[in-house]
Amino acid sequence: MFEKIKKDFTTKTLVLIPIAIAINIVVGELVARLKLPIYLDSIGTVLVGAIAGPWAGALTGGLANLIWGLFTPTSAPFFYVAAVIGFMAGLAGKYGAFEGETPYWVSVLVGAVFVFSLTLFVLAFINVNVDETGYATFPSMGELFSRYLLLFIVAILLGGAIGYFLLQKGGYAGLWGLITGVIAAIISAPTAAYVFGGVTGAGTDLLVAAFRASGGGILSSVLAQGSVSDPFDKMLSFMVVWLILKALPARFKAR
Amino acid sequence: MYVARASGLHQLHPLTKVLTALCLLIAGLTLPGNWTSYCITLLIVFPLSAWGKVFPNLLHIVWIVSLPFAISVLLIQSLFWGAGTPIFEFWLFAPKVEGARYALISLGKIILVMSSFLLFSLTTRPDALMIALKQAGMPSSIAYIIVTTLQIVPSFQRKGATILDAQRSRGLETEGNLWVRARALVPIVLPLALGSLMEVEERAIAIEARAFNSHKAETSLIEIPDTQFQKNFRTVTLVAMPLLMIFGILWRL
Amino acid sequence: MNITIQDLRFTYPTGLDALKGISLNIKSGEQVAIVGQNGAGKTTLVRHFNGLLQPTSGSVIIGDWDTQKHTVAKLASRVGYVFQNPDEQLFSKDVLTEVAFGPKNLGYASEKINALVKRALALTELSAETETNPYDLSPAWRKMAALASTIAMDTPIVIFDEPTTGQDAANVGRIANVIAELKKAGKTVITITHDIDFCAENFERVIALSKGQVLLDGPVREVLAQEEILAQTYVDPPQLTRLGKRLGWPEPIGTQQEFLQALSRRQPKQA
Repeated sequence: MFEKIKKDFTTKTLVLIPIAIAINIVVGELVARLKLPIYLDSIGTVLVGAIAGPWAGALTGGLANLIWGLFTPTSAPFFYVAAVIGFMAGLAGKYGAFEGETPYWVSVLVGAVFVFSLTLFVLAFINVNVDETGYATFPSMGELFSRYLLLFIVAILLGGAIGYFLLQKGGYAGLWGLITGVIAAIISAPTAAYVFGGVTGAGTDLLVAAFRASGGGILSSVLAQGSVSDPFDKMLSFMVVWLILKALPARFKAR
Repeated sequence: MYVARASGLHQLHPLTKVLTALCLLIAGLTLPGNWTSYCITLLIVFPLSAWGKVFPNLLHIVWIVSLPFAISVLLIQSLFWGAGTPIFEFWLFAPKVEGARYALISLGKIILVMSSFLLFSLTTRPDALMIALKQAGMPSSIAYIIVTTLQIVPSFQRKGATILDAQRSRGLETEGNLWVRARALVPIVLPLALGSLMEVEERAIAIEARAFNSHKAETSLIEIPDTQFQKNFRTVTLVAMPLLMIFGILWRL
Repeated sequence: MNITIQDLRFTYPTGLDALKGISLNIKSGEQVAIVGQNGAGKTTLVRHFNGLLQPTSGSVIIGDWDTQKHTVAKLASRVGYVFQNPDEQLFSKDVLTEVAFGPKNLGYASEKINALVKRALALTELSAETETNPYDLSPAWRKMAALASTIAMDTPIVIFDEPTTGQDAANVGRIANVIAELKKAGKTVITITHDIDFCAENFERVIALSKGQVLLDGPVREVLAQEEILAQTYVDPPQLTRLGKRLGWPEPIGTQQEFLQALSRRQPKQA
């Protein structure tokens, strides 16, 4: 086990990690300057995972949040989420998600399945029944399908379009990003809900507000918010890393 | 972050401060009672920061960072609380007493997280912390990562700004609708990542040339004063932290 | 396309007064070098030409466009800007795509883009490297790739920021050649430089800045002969100008050719 972990840490990896953390911070700032509704502040972490393996990725993510916590203390408690993102990127790299090109039909399928599940999740959430005692019951799938059939068809088409035009040939990287995003949303929700009362003081709070308004509890509203914004954000991060690795010159890859 | 002052708190061993801050944080988050975090912040963290002569600095940063949180959490949790006692009713809005209460409890935790963190980062020189951590057995590779990151972030920020300028000068539109702005992302992020990856090799050779992989113990020019009392105190905090967590969990069951 | 600058002042957010009232006219097709010590305001000045910086007061007019009324991306169709470090802009998978990025942003038709890219690659001697990854090129050739990517935008005004810094003699020669070709094509070329010999060989007009103000402005030979005034902004005249002065020749010397002519005039006639 330790030998395996050690293998991830050559001198080059060590040099790469601070650079990656700086990339996280600066890209996050540039994205904010472009006023884009995403964070994209884990590109460096994903890059290390992809190049140097899961353990190096995890260390990069964890340290990134702890070091950045010196300036914005609120990011420090989420260090374990960042570590998991780095680890997942390492696994994705091991399974070749950042290599080669994905057939278009796979990208379309990934996009369609994802937007479909997201729609299902959000609709189930909005249609939750809360009785007088405050006990919540989710509607059944069949009920949802019959009521929102048209919406589901639109979701599948939209997802397919996203897959075709956005994921393009980076479908596998995008898929790993989506999965990582879902995991990140699930594991960060308890901390966000318990320590931070469910808010971040940023734009995504509007989503939390919307889910609270439709009757969700605090933890589940945070989870719902995360499930909408995190997978999209991580999908884009993984795809940007796929692009970076593709653009790397032969000279660098040969090492 | 570090603010130089002549105070007793500044002279404490860095690890004493880190462990105290962590211990206070864990106590505030795990001990029973909704208002515990406020008590710890007001009765322990604030007086300690006054002892370290950094109370105004701490308060200023806490104020700036927690304000958006405060607004967000109060609005969301009071307005969308569901069933409860309304504070007042106006058109569609009926903020609930219970929601506001919950928001204030959350805010207390947020303020505790920030102020305990700031308590040590405002009064501890980063290089002293590094040396103390190394002496306590932290691998020098982790120290390298932390120190280097803090050094290179400002130059990366300048690099990012230059790249943005260079691509705009090549006709890249960075203002306009969402799609236009999103398309600007790749030409800005790629040069930053590619350019810095190309430096990796040179930096690796540079640190190897300075005997980075040597296994000999390092010596340091800076002496970090320590006392037996502080050593004992740190042992107590190390024992207290897991106990606090276990107690907190058992209490809630 | 003329550049008109009126009483330009610029103060950085830090409170530093970088430009303290600069008025200039640069006519279409002029070859202008801007010299001066570090911190004299050279880069601050030229960053106003394509809107990267906006005046604190005063104005910069490019042709009929006020830079305050157009975005940098729009001004890029009139002013090309070659940055110092090519690694802070290259990102494409090959040189051809990289060089086509600028003209594509400007929305030219594809035939025009192809022609412009081809010409820019020929001028920078990169025609054989179209399929090479820019980062597989040596730093000197990466500089040329960045240069090509600006020239391909076919702007009437081209700005170079310290083009010769860190370049070997062969690359300085290539850059001088590009500037000469741009001149032939009627482009305005504005260069910031520390390299006074390069400046004397390739430019007609020199503007010396000192502490945010214009110290000297005029034809290259006249400006570079003002040794005492130039010393205020820590600029030494070119080696040959200094040699001419040392020899006590009255006429100002700028280039090698001028030096040789002056020398031959003084050679004692062989009987």
